[in-house]
Amino acid sequence: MNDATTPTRTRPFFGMALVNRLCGWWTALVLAFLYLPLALLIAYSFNASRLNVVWEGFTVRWYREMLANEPLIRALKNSVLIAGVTTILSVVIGTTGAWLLHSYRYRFRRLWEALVFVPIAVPEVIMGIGLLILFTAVAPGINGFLDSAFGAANETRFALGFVTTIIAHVTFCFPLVLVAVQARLADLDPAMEEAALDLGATPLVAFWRVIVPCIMPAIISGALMAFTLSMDEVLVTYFVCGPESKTLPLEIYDNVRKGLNPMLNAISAVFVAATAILVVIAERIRRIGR
Amino acid sequence: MNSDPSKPMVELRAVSKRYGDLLAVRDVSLTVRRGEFLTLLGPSGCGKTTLLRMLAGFETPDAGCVLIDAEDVTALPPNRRDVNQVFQSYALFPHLTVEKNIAFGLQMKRLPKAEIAAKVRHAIDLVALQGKEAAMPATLSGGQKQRVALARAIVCEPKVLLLDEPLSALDAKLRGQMQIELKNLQRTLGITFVFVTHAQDEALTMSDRIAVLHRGAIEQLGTADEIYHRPKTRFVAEFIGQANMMTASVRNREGADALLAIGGEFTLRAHVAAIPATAQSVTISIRAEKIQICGDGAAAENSFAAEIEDVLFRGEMLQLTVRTPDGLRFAVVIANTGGARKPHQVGNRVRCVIHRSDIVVVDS
Ligand SMILES: Nc1ncnc2c1ncn2[C@@H]1O[C@H](COP(=O)(O)OP(=O)(O)O)[C@@H](O)[C@H]1O
Ligand SMILES: [Mg+2]
Repeated sequence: MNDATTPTRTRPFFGMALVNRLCGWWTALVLAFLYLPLALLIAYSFNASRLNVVWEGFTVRWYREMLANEPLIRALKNSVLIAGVTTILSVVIGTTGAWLLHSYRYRFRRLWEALVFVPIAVPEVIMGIGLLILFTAVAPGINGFLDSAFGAANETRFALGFVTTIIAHVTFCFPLVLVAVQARLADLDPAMEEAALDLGATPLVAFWRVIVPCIMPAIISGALMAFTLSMDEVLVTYFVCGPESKTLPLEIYDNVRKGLNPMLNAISAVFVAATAILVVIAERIRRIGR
Repeated sequence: MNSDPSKPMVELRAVSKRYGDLLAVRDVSLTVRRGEFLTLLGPSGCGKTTLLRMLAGFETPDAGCVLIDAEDVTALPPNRRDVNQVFQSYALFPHLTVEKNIAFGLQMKRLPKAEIAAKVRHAIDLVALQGKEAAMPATLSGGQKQRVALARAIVCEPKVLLLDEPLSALDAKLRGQMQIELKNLQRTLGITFVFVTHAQDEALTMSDRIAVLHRGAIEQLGTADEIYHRPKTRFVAEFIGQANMMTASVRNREGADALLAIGGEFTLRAHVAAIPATAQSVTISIRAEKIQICGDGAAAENSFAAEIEDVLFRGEMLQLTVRTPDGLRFAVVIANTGGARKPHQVGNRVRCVIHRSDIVVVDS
């Protein structure tokens, strides 16, 4: 190296700066592509014009219309109920499943672990049709059993509705909890459970008092993911939900087919905001747990 | 309550444990006396943890049985054994405060709240953790975690306390301090301790008796003094301290003396009683620090001339390698009292003396 390095030294830095700037632009472009539709949707939900294309001033009219729209509100209630029950069941099944896979050495353990993910990987249309076939196939049997158990006069029937929708949602929501919990368990000191047993806890008490608190961040973040997925799901739900358990995304979809309506922008904006909040909370909790 | 003081606190009867093809513990029989500090000492992988886990109930022996306070507990799960363990990783419950960690075992026993509080208080005093009651484990130092783990176990007043390398995560200074504290605690409480370690200094410092393990079997069981000065096997002699191991042929026996020849012409006199009656050839062990180096002393028994071949500075010790004219080498450890005078230098000629009672015959 000679003394003349000073002027040439800026060269590579200049090159790096350019690359950095290009990368920055590229990232911005990708983010814009991802978020522009959402931003427009939210913006137009406050647009006084019936047509999305022209801006005619600020209004909250569409939000008021949305709140007054009874089918929409009913669908929202359905969605929250279904997502809530789905989440609870997913947490129970996912957490105990992860614990069992973690603590016991099963034959074909890898296969079991893979099988859990099939419902997520399979195209939703196929899952939907499959579940529909299953429900229609078992319905007469179950109803026959109900009739014989409670008498033919009983009101309880097995038909497409809340129960089938929740069962369907659980099949693809519990794996999310299971994976989150499993990852956390893999990081857990195996002596933790032994310490509890050693101090006189039964295996059940050890699980409840020591293991569950240790994996709680994973359970909560898994639960939030399950809730969000259940709220958002359209295709499988389309096949398995009955008329009275129609979910919000389905109701929105039906409305869209009748034509775009600013009220739909409003409900979608609420949906986006709620989802975003849940995702942020889930991510926060996952990080705290680290 | 069954607590006949003459009965051992722990008894292992011909216990074996196999993992696949590996016999991790082979036919171990061992008794631990009431109030004894017994150490399982051995290199990593020799089966110490496995043995301890069978006492705690985390592993079931494939053969043999485990008795605690004269009760056969072989089939009892860990939560129904009157035994507590201090884990190598401490395994403190991260979501509970120090106080609640310590109270856990007592809550499992469903003691009244007031009694739990009093016992926890006492345990915290014992391990000197006052002021840390409400701290979360993650905020504690290694030494403090260690104390919580200890308090959590002893507060349950177990019949036996099991400790699996509890000091290995601490730095050297703290480890030395904890060794003394642990021993004092054990004396104060009178609880039987079964302590696992691979560090001989820990074993020698704290134990009433030491069981040296090798490949899943007990090589020798005895006091620190016995293990150190009278190793029974070559493994024990080599594992503990630094020993010169050599094969000697028994030249002749006259009265109380036996003449041992090593290599060709080099001979040492030993107690005839120390040598098996019919043995032609024996393996002997001479501890490095038992070989004395003196200026002259030509007249002493078992004295020989040698040249210093190597000097290693070890702080308070000097580690020498000396070589006799016949080419025999001995490792010698002497106190580093020379200061700046450096009396021992490579190439110096010295006289070495080995006292006859320091020649120990071991099984090979
Ligand atoms: N659960 C297990 N499965 C298979 N092998 C094991 C298991 N636990 C211990 N071993 C093996 O048994 C031997 C003894 O292990 P361990 O008791 O942990 O030794 P130490 O505590 O003395 O280091 C080692 O070779 C170890 O690899
Ligand atoms: Mg070990």
